Amino acid sequence: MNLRHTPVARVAFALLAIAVCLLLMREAARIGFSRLLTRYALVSNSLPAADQALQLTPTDPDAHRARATVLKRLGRTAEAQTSLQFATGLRPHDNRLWLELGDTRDELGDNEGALAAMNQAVRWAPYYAKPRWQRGNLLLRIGRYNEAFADLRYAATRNRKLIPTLIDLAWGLTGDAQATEGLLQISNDNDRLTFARFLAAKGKGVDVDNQVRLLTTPLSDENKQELSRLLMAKRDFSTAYRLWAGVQSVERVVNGGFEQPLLLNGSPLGWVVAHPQTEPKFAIDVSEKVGGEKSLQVTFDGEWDASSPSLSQTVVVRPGQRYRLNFAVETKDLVTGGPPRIVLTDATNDQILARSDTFPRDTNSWRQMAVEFTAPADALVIRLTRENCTSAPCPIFGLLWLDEFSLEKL
Amino acid sequence: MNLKRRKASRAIAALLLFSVLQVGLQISFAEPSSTNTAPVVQQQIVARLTTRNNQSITINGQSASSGASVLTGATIETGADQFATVNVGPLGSVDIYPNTKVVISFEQGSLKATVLNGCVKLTAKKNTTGEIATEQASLGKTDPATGGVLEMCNRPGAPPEVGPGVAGAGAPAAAAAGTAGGLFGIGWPATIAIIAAGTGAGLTPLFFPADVTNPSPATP
Repeated sequence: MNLRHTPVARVAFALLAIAVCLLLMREAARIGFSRLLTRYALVSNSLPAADQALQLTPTDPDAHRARATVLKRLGRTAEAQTSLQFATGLRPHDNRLWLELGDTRDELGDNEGALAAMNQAVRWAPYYAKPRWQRGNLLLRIGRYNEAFADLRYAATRNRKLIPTLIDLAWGLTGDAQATEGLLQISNDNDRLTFARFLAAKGKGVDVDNQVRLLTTPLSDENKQELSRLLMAKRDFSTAYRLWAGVQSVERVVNGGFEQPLLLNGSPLGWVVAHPQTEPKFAIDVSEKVGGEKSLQVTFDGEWDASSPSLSQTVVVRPGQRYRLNFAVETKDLVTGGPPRIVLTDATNDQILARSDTFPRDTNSWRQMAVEFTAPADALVIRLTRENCTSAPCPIFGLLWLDEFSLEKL
Repeated sequence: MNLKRRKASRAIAALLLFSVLQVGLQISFAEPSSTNTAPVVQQQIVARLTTRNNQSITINGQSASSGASVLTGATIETGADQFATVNVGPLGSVDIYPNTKVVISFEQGSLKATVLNGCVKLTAKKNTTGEIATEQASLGKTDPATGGVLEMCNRPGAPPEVGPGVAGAGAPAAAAAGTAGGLFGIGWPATIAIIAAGTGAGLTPLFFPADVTNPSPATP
């Protein structure tokens, strides 16, 4: 007779199964409730909830970690460290726990302890960026620069977003392009271009030039434009121009006859119209011209704030050289208390170098004008501007044509 | 015969020596150029950033969170609800409140916060001169003999405020531990929420029974 088929055995088996189920249910409830409490503790910074979760599942590293997080938020960093030590003991292969422990020890000023924990984090996640980055930062603070940059460089190869910060740190420590490059150990064009961009934003034209020369592929127009703009923002005009167009752009007015469009595809060279939508209005005119096929027509229709920029061009010059700026003007029905004129300023400090005569009301035909000046240190700005009126408002009406701007050495 | 052998040995030895020298010279020529060697960096103080709840802020325009290094002259910017502390080890620390832009400068014996916008609290340790300033003027210094705490706010359109508590007035409240009754002391609202959530999760199958028909075919 089979024992399994006896009623007693069946009941016993059923009772045993129920007991096992109840036991499993109890365990599931305990773990589930602990997780619920852990989440609640993190959301509400509740230490009692974190403690209770831990009481329910004392061998759960996540419960210890949650308790540590809450303790850190409450400013009880030393206790947080203890919780994280338990957590790492329970799950010793988890790089995140080691990293958090390292970070907490670092916060407590325990550099050696922090480094030991971060070494473990790197050990269990040797190809991840974060453990290397965090350890690199710690090594940097304790003055082990070569080891620090080895880690930081590695992290930046795994996560490209870290490269600008890496460059910033290297620059901050050395303040010198060559030494920074030595720390960065640049080995590809992308990183070199990022470094060149960083240097351009600092206005280090010579260093930008050096980096651009080391590129294995020629600089694209887009990158040239970006670097030039960054350098111009730092008022390093000569490098910006050299980078953009080579030496031929020096000592000459680009598009002086207005034969090309006013905005040269965002180039830092050539004429710039500050606010095309505001007064006055600029247009290329094919009917009125002195030379070539076109001239620039400027229409004044009332408002033009004397202080607001309008038409301008930056020209790189040789310091101390005497020059004459020649240009042609034609006006028609120009009515205003503050007539327009051309003003030359030092691009570096906006100091006025020279001004043309104010433009007359009606010239009837083209009139040649000239302004002589001594070149400033780097570059000058040719700007169309107007005189202030003696009283407000100060409207301006009429038409103006400009053509054939050229720079002549004296 | 002996003499001949000795001469031959000497010749072989000389040849061997010459060969070894040649190899040595070649290896020394093949050494990497000195440009690849790491530059010598002067030892300097590097501060540590800590952000509340590990949020990201910006250092010199780059995103950074707890554990980041801060070098002298760094511009640090916090957004709304972001709070950061720059710990400058032996010199002291600077607490940076939300919506603040500040330049932190430090060297042996001095710690300075130039506040472009927002609020800071500077704590200078003994033997360090702590200073708070705007771009225009210095607004206060600590006595290096005693150390001290300086607080200031520099908000647009208003004169800078300096004094105890001015920075903390707009600061987010520190996290408080929940101790208010209920189940396990986690508070009654939380207790009710947890029980309701648990009950709801348990009873869901009763009210929304799963479709027992298996839509999948028995064979692929």
